[in-house]
Amino acid sequence: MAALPKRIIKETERLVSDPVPGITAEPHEDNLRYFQVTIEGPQQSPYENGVFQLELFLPDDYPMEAPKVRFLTKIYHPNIDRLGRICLDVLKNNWSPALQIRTVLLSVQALLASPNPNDPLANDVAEEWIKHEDTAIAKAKEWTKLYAKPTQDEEPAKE
Amino acid sequence: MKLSVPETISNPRDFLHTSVPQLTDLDSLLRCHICKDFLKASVLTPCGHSFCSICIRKYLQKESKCPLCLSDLTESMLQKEFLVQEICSSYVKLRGSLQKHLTISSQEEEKDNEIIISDEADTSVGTKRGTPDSPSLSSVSTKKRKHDGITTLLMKKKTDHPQRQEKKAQCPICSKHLPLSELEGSHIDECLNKGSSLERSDSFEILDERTPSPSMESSHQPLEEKTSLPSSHLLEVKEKKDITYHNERYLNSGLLQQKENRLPRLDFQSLSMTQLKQKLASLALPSNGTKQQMVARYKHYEMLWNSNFLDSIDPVDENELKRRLSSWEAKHNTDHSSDSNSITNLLRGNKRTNAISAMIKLFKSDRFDRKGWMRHHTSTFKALKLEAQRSDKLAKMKKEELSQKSDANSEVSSEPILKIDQTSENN
Repeated sequence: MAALPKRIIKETERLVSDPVPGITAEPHEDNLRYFQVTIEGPQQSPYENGVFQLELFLPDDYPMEAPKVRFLTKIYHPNIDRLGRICLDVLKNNWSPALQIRTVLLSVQALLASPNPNDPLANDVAEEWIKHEDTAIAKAKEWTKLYAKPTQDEEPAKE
Repeated sequence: MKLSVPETISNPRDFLHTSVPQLTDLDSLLRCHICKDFLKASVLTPCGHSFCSICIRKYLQKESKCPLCLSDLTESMLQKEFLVQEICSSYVKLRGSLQKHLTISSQEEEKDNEIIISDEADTSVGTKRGTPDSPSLSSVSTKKRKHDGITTLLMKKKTDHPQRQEKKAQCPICSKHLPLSELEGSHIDECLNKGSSLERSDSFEILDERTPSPSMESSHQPLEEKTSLPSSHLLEVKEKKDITYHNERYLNSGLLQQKENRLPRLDFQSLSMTQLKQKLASLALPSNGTKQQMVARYKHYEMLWNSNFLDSIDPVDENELKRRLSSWEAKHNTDHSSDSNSITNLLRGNKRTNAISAMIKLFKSDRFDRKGWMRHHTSTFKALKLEAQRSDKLAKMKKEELSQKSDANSEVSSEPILKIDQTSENN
């Protein structure tokens, strides 16, 4: 197969050897451009204590083109639709090759910490978020509990 | 510019566990923010950021903004920066030994820097970097390898710059033989000025000026300098000239006359197929494939050309560019034939077979990915080669034995091969 650009190898190495706190990203063994990602919900957000699964794909033109990122875990968020697509500037117009997987995932994590209902992707969620913020946040918490369960090894000990 | 690219992937954080962890900072600064590797033929943007020429040109074909600050940027705004290029090349050469030495002993004295510097030659050319030798080995054999490295470096330089050795003339002042361009360009001035500057003891720099061409180094040693230095320093002096290679190239970069012009951006919309083909043919590029492929080919070549001839301090020739173009195209085309843009497609894992069939399709064209093909079939090739060698050996053995037999007419041993051979010949 066409060789993997050095940059991707380098980024992968760093992601594995020096991971960002609260974020993991592991390349798929069959395709090193496809990453399985988990992001912990930021503290003091409705997504706290949740662990969200995402997929990240580096297109052929990466880093000239932004990586494609999608939530696999269901999430109640005004900027993330029910298919898991994310409305985030650095994934679209504001992508720059100086960014990298690490920074993109950090941006996604930041988006969880500060939802932006004024630039919505999921219209119904955004509407709810603006009109009844409390209920929306409650729902986000509920979904987090329901869907964003930590995997076993990450589960805090209950004893 | 051809840097010896390390086999393994280096990382600024390699220096975190050395005695000078601050080098991590320098190491990151010398890297391009697009490819994350050391800057190659770096260019400067008006907003003050540096990138590899190729990287930024490639990106600017898509977006007209600086990757770091997102301010407006077009290709015409890029400025070459020879100093950074040479700093990078020099650092890249130095890096392996820096790392090696700094991990050995935590207290490097100022004086030891000499050795570190002089060792650069050997790591960059003589040995493969990236896998540091064991500390004890390197310190013991430093001296010997130093020597090896320099000779290889010298040889490399000679092959790298054959044109620089061509016309030589004698300097009327110091009567040294120098390349004509060098002589006319700066040497005479330097020679004339030398009388006054010699007193100021900057022997390092004087050495530079007096040996501008790498080919000079072994043969012509200025006499007064030899005598003015203690003999124990002779080896070091010799090495210094290698050490100042990048500095020299930078200082002499003004002499490079820009032979080649910018390849223009074309308006592909208004070009007909024939016009496009003519354009490609005039550059001696292949003009096969779809229009889209030809456009992509031109665009990539334009980028290679401009970054090479406009930005690089050490440009390669057109043939090398064409080679790079064709290898790029081979990769590019196989990638697209498998339509790898969607995640699901890739996940099916049939990319490999797709790529091979795509390769076979291209077999007769010049876009055929020879290297990729070789890689896929190395084992088969090897097996075939072994097979061929074996049967060749067998045939020779048979022949020998046959002749022996006919000469002596006596059977030495009961050789099954021999018998088979005999029967087959009788038939």
